[in-house]
Amino acid sequence: MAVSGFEGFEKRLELRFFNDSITNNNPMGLRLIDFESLDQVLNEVQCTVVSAVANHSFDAYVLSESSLFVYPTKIIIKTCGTTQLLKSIRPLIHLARNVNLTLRACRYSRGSFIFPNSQPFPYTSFEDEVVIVEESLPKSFRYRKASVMTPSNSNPSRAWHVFTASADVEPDETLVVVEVCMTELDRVNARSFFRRKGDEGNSDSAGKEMTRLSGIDMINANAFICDFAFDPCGYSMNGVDGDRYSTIHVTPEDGFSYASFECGLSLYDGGHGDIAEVLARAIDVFRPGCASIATTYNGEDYDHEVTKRVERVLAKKLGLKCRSRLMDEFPGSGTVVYQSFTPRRK
Amino acid sequence: MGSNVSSVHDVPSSVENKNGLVVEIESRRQWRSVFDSMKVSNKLLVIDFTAAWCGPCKAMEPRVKEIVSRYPEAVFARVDVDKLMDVAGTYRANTLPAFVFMKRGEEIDRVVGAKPDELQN
Repeated sequence: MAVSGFEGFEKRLELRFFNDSITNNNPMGLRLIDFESLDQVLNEVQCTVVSAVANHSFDAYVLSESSLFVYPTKIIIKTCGTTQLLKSIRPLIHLARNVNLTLRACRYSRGSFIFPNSQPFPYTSFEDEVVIVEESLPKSFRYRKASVMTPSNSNPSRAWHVFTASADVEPDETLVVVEVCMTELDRVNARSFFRRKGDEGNSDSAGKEMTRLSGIDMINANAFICDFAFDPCGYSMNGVDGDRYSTIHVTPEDGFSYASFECGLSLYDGGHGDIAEVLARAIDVFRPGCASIATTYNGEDYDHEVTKRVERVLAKKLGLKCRSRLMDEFPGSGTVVYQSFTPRRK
Repeated sequence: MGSNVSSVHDVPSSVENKNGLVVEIESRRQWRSVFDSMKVSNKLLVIDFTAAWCGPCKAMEPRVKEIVSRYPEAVFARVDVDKLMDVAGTYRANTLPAFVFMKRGEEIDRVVGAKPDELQN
């Protein structure tokens, strides 16, 4: 492992708002926040927009350090490196108020940094991060919980950190969110994410090449993919499929290689692909030495069959053995299951 | 009649510049007039599908202006997908921003998303 390098592990922030001001005549909600204001918030977080698309359901921005999704009553920002993500909470709540939206729930989550000592305050300790998040939220949020889900046997210890706070005890979100973090990427597969020598093309055609070469376009063939290739290496994409989002970020360098895959989906909507199959396709792109999956059930009831099916499919198709499975309940946010996988020894 | 001069008068000064031409399409009639006049021209017509609510379209705006000024020979027609739903439908502009490249009434290429470099090519 390298002494220091780019930190792929992301910090993720999700803000959800009450929808009482959303009507048929005024369905846009947060999407009415003007872009210049959003850009300013991103400036404070230390990232910028490099590519973007919108459809009838949401806006998707690819950032210099990950992604931003804006739905009428939900914002998701995911940033990597040494970005100051939590600085966005107060300004976003303020901007939302300007378009008549009141915060309902907040979730902050992340894995374990590869280079924890390279992070600025407060990201050097989850306790400090929780203090900062709490300071930025309304005092009226009665349902709060912080949890560090730590597998007992993993090496290095890759825990999953979650803090949730909400005004209501019942979760309002309908989609299940799946977050996959992968390290020790297969070196041959990782090569797809380096710009080629003598590459005449620009970032976007190079991005398209990477999407195609790596097989990322086959994870969900229905999705429109907004991709971007960084120089000299690195890749990001947002997938847009109706109201469903997906996002992939790759740091391919050996020694600190990392890739993430995240999507929002419904467990029982066959048309969009079975969750286990989608995960297998996504993880197969990278063939990592280590993978973790955090599944947040939100308003959906926990289904143990789904957990077992994911483990079965990953074992069968990718030879990945589930080494630990942890579960925790977050009032107002739902159940989170955290699974860790490594290849079965040959 | 049918010359592209008639639709030029609608160009708001904020998007007009010395070399490039961006026509804000306000009505179906105006669209037909631009489309028909470009059909008999060898010039490139770029339809810029956008929407008032589209943040990504706004993120793209400064770069589009830059490109417009660099291609004086092309005509950029900006179509709001809510105002001209059937035109948006004809060109399947569901994901924005979308730039559809037309020559002599036929689509020759399209770029979807805020990808400034790709638009240049």
